[in-house]
Amino acid sequence: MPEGSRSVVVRLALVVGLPLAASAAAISATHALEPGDPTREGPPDAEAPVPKQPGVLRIAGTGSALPLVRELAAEFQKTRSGVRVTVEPSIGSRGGVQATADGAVDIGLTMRPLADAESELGLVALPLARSPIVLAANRSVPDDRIDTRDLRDLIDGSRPVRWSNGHRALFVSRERDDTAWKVLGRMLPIVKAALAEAPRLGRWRVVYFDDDMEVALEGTPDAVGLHDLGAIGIQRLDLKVVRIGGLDPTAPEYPYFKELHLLTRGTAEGLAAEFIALAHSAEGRRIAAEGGYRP
Amino acid sequence: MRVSRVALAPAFARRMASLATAAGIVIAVSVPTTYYVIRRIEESEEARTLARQVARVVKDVAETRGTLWRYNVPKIAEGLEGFEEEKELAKVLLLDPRGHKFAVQMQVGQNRIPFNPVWGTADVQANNRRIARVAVAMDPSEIQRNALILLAGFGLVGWGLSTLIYRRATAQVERSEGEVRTLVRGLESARAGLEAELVDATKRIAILSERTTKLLEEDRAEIARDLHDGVGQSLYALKLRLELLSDQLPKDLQSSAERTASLVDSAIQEVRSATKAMVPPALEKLGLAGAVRAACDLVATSGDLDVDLEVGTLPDDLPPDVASACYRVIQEGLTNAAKHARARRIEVRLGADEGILMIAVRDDGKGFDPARAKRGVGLDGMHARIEALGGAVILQSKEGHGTSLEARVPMSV
Repeated sequence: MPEGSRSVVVRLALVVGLPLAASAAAISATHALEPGDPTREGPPDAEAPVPKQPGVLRIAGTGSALPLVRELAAEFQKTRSGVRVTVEPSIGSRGGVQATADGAVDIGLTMRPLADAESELGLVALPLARSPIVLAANRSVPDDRIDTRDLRDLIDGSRPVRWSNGHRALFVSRERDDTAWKVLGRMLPIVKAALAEAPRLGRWRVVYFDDDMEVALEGTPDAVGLHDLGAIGIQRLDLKVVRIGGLDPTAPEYPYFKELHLLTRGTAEGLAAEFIALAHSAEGRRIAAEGGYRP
Repeated sequence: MRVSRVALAPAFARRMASLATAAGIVIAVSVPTTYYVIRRIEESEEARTLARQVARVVKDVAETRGTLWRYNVPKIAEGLEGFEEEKELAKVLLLDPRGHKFAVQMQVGQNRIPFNPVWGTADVQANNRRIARVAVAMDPSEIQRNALILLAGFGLVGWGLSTLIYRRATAQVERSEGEVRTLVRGLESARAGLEAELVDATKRIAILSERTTKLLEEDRAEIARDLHDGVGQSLYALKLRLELLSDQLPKDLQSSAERTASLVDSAIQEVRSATKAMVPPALEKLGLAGAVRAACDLVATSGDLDVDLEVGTLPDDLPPDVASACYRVIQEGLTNAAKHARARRIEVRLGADEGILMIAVRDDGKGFDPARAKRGVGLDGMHARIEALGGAVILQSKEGHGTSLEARVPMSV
């Protein structure tokens, strides 16, 4: 290559290559300073199979079933010395299904039937009880009923809704994926859209667990929120029920229920089978009925 | 310098092309690169912030929901509704401290891990124990797309600016080069005029010098004749009379007369010497070749030197001034070689060819540096004589390597 041509090539390589190399170096340095992919292949330590402890029955799932299950557990332990039933805090119906499938618990709790995909995990769902979905209110609320339109306006915030004492009504929302409002929304189309939008709009406080809802309603004057009659009754919560459109949740024709189920991985055995037998026994049905649950 | 050698614009254009290209590329890539780097850094910080937020929520759940807290992850995701507004949020992963993914994961954001995501991580500390790690992946595609748009835009700007810079700079240099060319043309024209004037002046000087030399030679010849014919003859007559008178004088006066005659004889010899110095008698009597041979013989015998003379064919009608000038140059060369150079051998060449008389005197003496040597009357006289006849003298010498003196004179002058 002639000297002149080589010089031109070198110059071109410098003037083109240097800025591009500097740019590439800056981008590479930026990437290098960022944290890389933090994921590793393999199962997490926390999900290793938990060895079953003899004499211990672990139950977890939807918070809606916990009050009844705790009562049943107390009754279960009365007649079985050396047996301990551990009822974990709420992990939701979905968590209950997954924990049962993982073998993390002996009995899972849901307030809905199994989805098709969940049935394929080899789970068996047994009905436990039904609990009427109600509009629970702080004890300060003076009214016993609310019109569906008022309920809609209250939830979507389109109009301030006031109780008969002139106080503005407040609403405590559940998360968008909650079963209770889905059931209520199916039954009352007029409030369905408002319920669906409430968590997203952020107008009202959103809670994710039944026990959080109970705390919120008991501690917030003029507040109402969706809950279930069984949980209120069996725990003797200081809440009142506001009838929606005048419907009496204790009436046999009341249509809005949470359907509570017990889950096992395969056919229940041992303590799990005994517990389920208790839940389905007359004693179990009595405990549920006294709390306001229905078979 | 010739005008054709003034070629600033092409060389400048080559260098300017490199600079303009570099400037264009710098403009094209600097802004997109800066944008990309800054946005990646911002995105990385945003990912870290989101990861910390999720980690705080996970911590609260873990500390209040017991050992099965991880099954609350879907609910945690519900608590992150606001994350839907984060368009670049691609995936939120809940990992154990070693980075293994939990089976239950959040369904927020785009719920997919894009290519080359921007990661942000935060550890979850609950009950003084590291129980999990939250990893947030941000989608960089918008940053990449915007960077490419900027690259295209600033590429055009860079190209436009570099072209503008290049054209303006080269046009300015071309204008300047045109002005320089005009200036050089003017200088060359002036130089040509001065050279023509110099040639005319040189010719005039040569003519004047020739005339002066002729007049000098004529005057010297006339003086020599006057001395020889006048003073010389008178002294010779005086000497004869003294010799005659001496025979008639008494004995005691004869010696005085003889001394006087001897003085007259010395005067006669001095007149003859002066006459000889003024007119090269040998040249007049022997012609150029004979005179040169005589001069060589004289130097050889008086200085004990080896003088090698070669004489070519010379025309019969050699102009006297040419012959005289050449004789004097050879004489000067021989004198310098014998007296100053301390030479042992001298070569003398004399010849003519195609109307040019050529002479050369070379010696093996001590030589000298012509650049540093003082030009004496002899050398300047040589140059003046030869150049006055339209010829040229070439003097070459080097310390320790002898001296070469060559001259070429047109015979038609």
